Amino acid sequence: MFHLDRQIDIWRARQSASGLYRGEDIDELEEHLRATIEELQAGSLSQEEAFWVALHRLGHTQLLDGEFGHINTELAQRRYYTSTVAWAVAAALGVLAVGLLGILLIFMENQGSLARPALPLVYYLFVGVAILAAGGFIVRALVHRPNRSLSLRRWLGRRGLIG
Amino acid sequence: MLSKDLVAASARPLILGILAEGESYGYEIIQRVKALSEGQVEWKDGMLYPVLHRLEKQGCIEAYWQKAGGRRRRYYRLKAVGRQALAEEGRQWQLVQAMLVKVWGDEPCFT
Repeated sequence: MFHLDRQIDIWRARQSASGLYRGEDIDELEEHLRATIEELQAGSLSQEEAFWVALHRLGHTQLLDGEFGHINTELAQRRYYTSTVAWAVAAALGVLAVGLLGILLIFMENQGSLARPALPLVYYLFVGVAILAAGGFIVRALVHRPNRSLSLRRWLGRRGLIG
Repeated sequence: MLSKDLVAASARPLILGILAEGESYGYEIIQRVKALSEGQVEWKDGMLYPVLHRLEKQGCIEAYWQKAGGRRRRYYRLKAVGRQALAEEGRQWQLVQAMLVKVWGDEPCFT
């Protein structure tokens, strides 16, 4: 059984998840979607058919995401930097996990005792690589930020973080 | 069917022109575009809104929410800056049209 309101809720959730729309952007798109559905139903389409045709007319999600990302630059940047930090943390944790596994293997090889010279070497090596991995993601984000006309200095300035 | 580039280029003056006729909302603007083009211009409906929001940011139009038929609609109306922008767009498009007419003649034949 097709439930229009449920389908629209799913559609709204999918649009919101991209982080590129303000609440009122989605409200406005929903109003358009409902108006198109009404028009199509006044023709010969069922509610379900009208929903899918209206969705198609509205445009592909990726297309809309791209256009709204250009308009809502602050939201697009927030999404970009958030994902960058998430990837940086994941990269650092990944490298540290491999490092800890290495230390564990050395520990097991030495039958419960860690060879003294090996510990600092392995530890510092992996912490160093983890910092490099996280730093790599952050540098990449700064170089390939979505709106390059907005410099990091200006971005921080707007938030009163620098003078 | 109009090319994508021409659709994109004509969206701004078209929307400003439609709003010069009176305040309107997204769905109604799309219907007006379809009627004006007699089906020759194909817009993805959702693409209208980023253009409207851009015009709003530029100060050409203003938006407000209003209840209509039990639902909330976002209406747009033209501002003085928008009228000036429309006049400028009009001058530019008339210039292009005049140039093309000079090159092609009044009844162009491309075969």
